[in-house]
Amino acid sequence: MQATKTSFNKWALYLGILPAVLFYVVMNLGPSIATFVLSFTDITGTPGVPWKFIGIANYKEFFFIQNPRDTMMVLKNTVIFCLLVTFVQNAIALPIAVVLNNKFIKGRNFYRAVVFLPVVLGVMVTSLTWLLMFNPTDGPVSQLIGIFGLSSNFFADKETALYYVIFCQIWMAMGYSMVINLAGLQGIPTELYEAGEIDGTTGNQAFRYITFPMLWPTIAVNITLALIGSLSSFQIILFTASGGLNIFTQTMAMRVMYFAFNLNAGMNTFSMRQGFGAAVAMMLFVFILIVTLVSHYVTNRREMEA
Amino acid sequence: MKSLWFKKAVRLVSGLTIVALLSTAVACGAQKQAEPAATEPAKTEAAKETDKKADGKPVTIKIITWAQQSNIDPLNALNAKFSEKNPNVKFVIDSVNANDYPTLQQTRISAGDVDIVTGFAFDQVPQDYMKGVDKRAWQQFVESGAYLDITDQPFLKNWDPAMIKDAASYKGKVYGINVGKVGFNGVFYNKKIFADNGLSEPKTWEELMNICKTLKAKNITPFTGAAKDSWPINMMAHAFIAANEPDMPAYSKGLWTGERKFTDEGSMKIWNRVEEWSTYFEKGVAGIDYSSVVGRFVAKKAAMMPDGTWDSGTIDAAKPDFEYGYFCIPGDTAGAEPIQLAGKYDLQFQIYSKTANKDICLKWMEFLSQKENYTPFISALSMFPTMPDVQVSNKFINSIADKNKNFRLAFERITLEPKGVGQYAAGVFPLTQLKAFGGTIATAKELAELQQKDWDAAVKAAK
Repeated sequence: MQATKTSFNKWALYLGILPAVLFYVVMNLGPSIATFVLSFTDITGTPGVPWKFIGIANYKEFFFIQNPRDTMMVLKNTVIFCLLVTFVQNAIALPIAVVLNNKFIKGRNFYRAVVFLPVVLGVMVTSLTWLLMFNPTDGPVSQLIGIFGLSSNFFADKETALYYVIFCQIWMAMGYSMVINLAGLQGIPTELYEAGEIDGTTGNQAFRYITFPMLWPTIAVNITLALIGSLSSFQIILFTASGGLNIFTQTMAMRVMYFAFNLNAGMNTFSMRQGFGAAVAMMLFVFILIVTLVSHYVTNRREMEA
Repeated sequence: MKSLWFKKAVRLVSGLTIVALLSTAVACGAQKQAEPAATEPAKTEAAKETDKKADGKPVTIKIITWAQQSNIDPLNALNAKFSEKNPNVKFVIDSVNANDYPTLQQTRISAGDVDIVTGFAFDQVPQDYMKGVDKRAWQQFVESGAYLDITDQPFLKNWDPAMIKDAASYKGKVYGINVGKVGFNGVFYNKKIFADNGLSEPKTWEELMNICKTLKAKNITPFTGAAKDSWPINMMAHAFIAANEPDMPAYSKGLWTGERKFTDEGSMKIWNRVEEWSTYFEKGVAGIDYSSVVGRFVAKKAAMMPDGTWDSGTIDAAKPDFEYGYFCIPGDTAGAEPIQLAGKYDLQFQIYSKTANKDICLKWMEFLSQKENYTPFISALSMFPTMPDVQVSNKFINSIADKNKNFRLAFERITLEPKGVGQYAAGVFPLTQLKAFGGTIATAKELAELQQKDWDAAVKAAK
């Protein structure tokens, strides 16, 4: 019997990863580069319409032709949306994860599933659910606050709509942060807590000196994911606040959609402006990059201090 | 052996890579391959295929439109009638929310996955005095050759030449058929509530305000409206303009050239009336969307509902026995004639120029152009006909025929806003910025000043 001789061919490795690389190049890297290139053109998105390079005209329009007050409002909305979602989502997800990690909680798997359910439901169902709940004429919340003589237009109130959208975003995404925190908590060696018990640590001390420092890398990942997710999120605004129709609920990501796909402009108006939308998208990219780098710097420093 | 399978695999993957890259390149390159519409485009293989299909092979015609049941039902009935005579032809109507329709239009035309495209009239053409205004979407579709040139089609002679010229033509060529006109400078009212309270259609602004006061005194909410979607309320600005600015093109030009201001006496009269009107809406109007406002109207939550005449079909569908009428927002004095409608040419059909079913689509348009087919269609559509000597059987349309003797285009079809205009002049008159409609601005005067400031900034930047 002849022994089979096998040998390692390094090209097989490259062949193995080629489909994934191809997918990444065609579906991700390619469109990203194309967006950068198209941001210097007047492409509309209307099939067959010729387009040309117009230099930095789209960027100039964003800063000098678009109403500066409205532009600042969009930037302000983006920052508020991003900071509130990131902070509140993680601030709620962490204690819930700690509690649901406790083996003495009966039915904790059920509670975990309940908290995670909105993630599974997705943005469309979440939006419809809260649109019904916050229906200003006869929705349950409206009727509840009506008992106390209060009323609100919720998503239609230009001053407060953004905060209702933020609430929906947190409700929808919090389960995701919780699951990541749970995974991090389960990676903390139990010996540390046992050693702490021997030294007489209280529950609060255990959280402060063991759980939190050990969980910090996970929290840092959660913060980064929430930052990027909230900065690029537009779907929840699209579905709840009439598609970001008014400037009061528009974020940068929503602004990209607004121009690139003529959202809410109806059937009857100007054509789409995908070149200009691409320019706004590039500025959003720079914004996300800066925020992510700063966040990384801060969280890494905190990690090193810990 | 090993090297053989390895070479085969490399060839396969390389082939796939080249195909993927070529597909991407072709898709991108397609942007530049547009040709202007021709009266008689060269017969492609696809067109030749059409000839075969016309002989009786099964064909499915794809129509895209926006989701409005009062449009879709008559269209289905028309198509069914066509299919009766042409059993091999089936229709598929794909519709989305009106706000998403531009995306559907773009994607389907890009993919060549459509035969008949619905749209609005070819109006709102930028005038010489409008600087820095982008082209309209329809203009770009026509220039890119997306719509078939039907200038020489004999069935066009069946239609109103004014419609062909004003709504369906561009640079002397005809690209579509506009099937109906609508007005939107008015208000639906509940006839029973009016009769019970001894009220009749107002002929002056004072009379309208008296009606509101009478209803309010009897704890009846005068108006409901769909302020959440903004446009149904913002649209009504054009009703106030139609009632108070007799020369709307001059008003548009004046605003662009600076001869007129949003804060001048004439404009403030419009704003002050809007402000007064806004106090008579039901509580929570800012949260009511367009899809639910008709339900509220027929449920008698309010006595009146501002809307376009096109929505009578929705009212009929919501409550078939509901008795309602329609009056135009009045001005200062009553004339001998009822106040006339101002509106637009509405539903328009265009044939996708590269459809493989060109002949069948033309046959369908010819079918639509026959009076016996068009009459039931337009009657069900609840619009004013654009074909001469057509007597519609629509009760509502007939009831307001006396308001359609001197039909005018509404202000929104005449003027355009400058690029990048701020929120307080977006849509020219954004009524929903008022607190009464869920906005943040307390008074009309304050809003008019912000509107002028935003308009001036945008006009200046556009130059």
